Amino acid sequence: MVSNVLLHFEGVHKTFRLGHLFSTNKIHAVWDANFKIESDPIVFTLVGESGSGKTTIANLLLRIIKPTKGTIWFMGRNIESYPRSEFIKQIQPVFQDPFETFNPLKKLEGYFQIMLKKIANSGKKVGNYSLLEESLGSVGLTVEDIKGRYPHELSGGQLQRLSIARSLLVNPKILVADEPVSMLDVSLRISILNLFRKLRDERLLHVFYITHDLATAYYISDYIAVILKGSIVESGPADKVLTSPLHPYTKLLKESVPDLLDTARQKMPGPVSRGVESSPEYSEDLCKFVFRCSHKKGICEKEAPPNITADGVAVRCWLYQ
Amino acid sequence: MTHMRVNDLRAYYTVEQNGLPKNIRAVDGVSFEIEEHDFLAIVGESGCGKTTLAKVLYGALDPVLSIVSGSVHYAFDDSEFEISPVQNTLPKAWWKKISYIPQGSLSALNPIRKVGQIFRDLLSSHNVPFEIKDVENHLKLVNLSEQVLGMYPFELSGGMKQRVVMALATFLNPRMIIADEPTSALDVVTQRDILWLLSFLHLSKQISFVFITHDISLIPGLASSVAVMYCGCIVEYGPVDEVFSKPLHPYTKFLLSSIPRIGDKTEKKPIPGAVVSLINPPSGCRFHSRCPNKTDTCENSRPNMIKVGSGRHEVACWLYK
Repeated sequence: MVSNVLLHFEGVHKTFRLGHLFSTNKIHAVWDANFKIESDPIVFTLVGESGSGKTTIANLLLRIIKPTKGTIWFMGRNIESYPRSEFIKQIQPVFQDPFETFNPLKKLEGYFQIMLKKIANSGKKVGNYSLLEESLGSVGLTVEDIKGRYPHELSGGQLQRLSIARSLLVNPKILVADEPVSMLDVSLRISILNLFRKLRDERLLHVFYITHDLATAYYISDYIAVILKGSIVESGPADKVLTSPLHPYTKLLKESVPDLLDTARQKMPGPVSRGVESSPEYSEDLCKFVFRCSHKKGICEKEAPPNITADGVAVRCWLYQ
Repeated sequence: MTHMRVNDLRAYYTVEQNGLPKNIRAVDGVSFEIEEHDFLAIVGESGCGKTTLAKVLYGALDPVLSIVSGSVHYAFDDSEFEISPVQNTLPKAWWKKISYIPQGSLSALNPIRKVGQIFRDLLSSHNVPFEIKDVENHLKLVNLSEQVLGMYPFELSGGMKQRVVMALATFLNPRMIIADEPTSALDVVTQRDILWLLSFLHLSKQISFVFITHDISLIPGLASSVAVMYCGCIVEYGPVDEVFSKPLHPYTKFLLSSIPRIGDKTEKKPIPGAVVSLINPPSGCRFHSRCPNKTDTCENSRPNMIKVGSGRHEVACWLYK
């Protein structure tokens, strides 16, 4: 292992079984995921449509589920080998819905008190709020903002900031943010995205950002991976992938993003043929995009395309063979 | 021909807070008109009253939500309907003249009825004979195969459910459809298909649309006019090209500048402050607490809509008096 690699997914597979003992359907929720995150702080974005396996990757990374095959390396060690208490100090989640992150019956101060106790590893009340102040400060809040208040008294944007502050308490290396802005309004959305940028620059934090929105992905990410039906079809520097996409699926995603300044556009582009949403798309021995692809060749239906790397961008498509 | 005329509409929710009745002024003085074949988009942040406006326009009042003053007047080819504090005749026109696509339309279908039975229920309650051929042809219009008639809603994907809801809404040939965030739960590719379908129905069946969204970037290329809503009031109204190329109200300017775009990495500024409460809305212009250009007049008196430019573009702001 090279020492400057922080996180490395090496041939990670995750298969879920559906059905009962005698008739099981396998669903390859993650299929051969390979990527590395170097130790320079970056915003790494995983983009894909719903049902593509984005959240499964987040769950694997957070050790909520175990991979069926393959290994996730974190700082040169298998993540399974870390004791839980040590692991949760390294990788922390931020969830989609800030309104459900916090217990509505608990005051926020008490909520943070429990966490401070856990961190200090003592049963006594922690009177020193300097750690809390520091992490609230980096999301633009103060202790006064949360004193004596319940979660419902704060706005969605403030709650999402709090949930980020909660994650920052242990000073983690990686923040796993699963659709952190999809529940928020446009005006608040941009402030949370700016916050991720700031955390990357000032606290040297890696942000593992999961989204289906290419426009916000472009805005904050340094590196991007596009996932389709469990397999990462294109990955590379965000600029390159989004301004000149290679894989037909990335092209489709980019075309589907409504463009604000395109007022001349008189008509929406026509619908995309969806193909059959059935299990073959989850099977191993063909390209996952074959039913919807307009460039398909004979080989696409027979064999899964290899990972082809050119110019820093890895793409999984027979077109570039 | 003017299909809908909204005249200084005020609709409040009455709730009890600490034993005292309180009004939530969700729609507070809204006026606009919709011509035949018009496509109006209403955009605003969450909590600005846009869903309440949709409910009131559809005449779906309940004991908590009531119209305080003003009226909505509908005129279709041969019949007229009116919603006002004293009467609500619109329910007679539901489905036949005007349809509603609710926000949670993914859960609007009865989970224990097959799609075919749902169509049967709709037709029998309107005394229309059920002809399987008509229903099948109608489903083709929204790109669904007739197989879905024998399926339960849970067997359909999110996009397909949305298409079923749209097929139901258009089956009795209404002249107008109110669609409340029809794409907010869908991913970008499906969203594009559904938007295409909306504009297809608008053009081919000559249906007028009221389209409610929080995502301002969906509007160009879809709608012909746009109304920007803030805190229960419409602050800017006009043809889409004019509002998007020359936004006048500071709030519209903020909304437009806070949207990230692919190919643009410049830092975006969030809208300062937070959405104000609808229980105690600020005096004067409701945006004054967040506005960079505020003067004393803004705090004291509420601006009226003033016509600017071509005469169809209106703005409620003291800057343009």
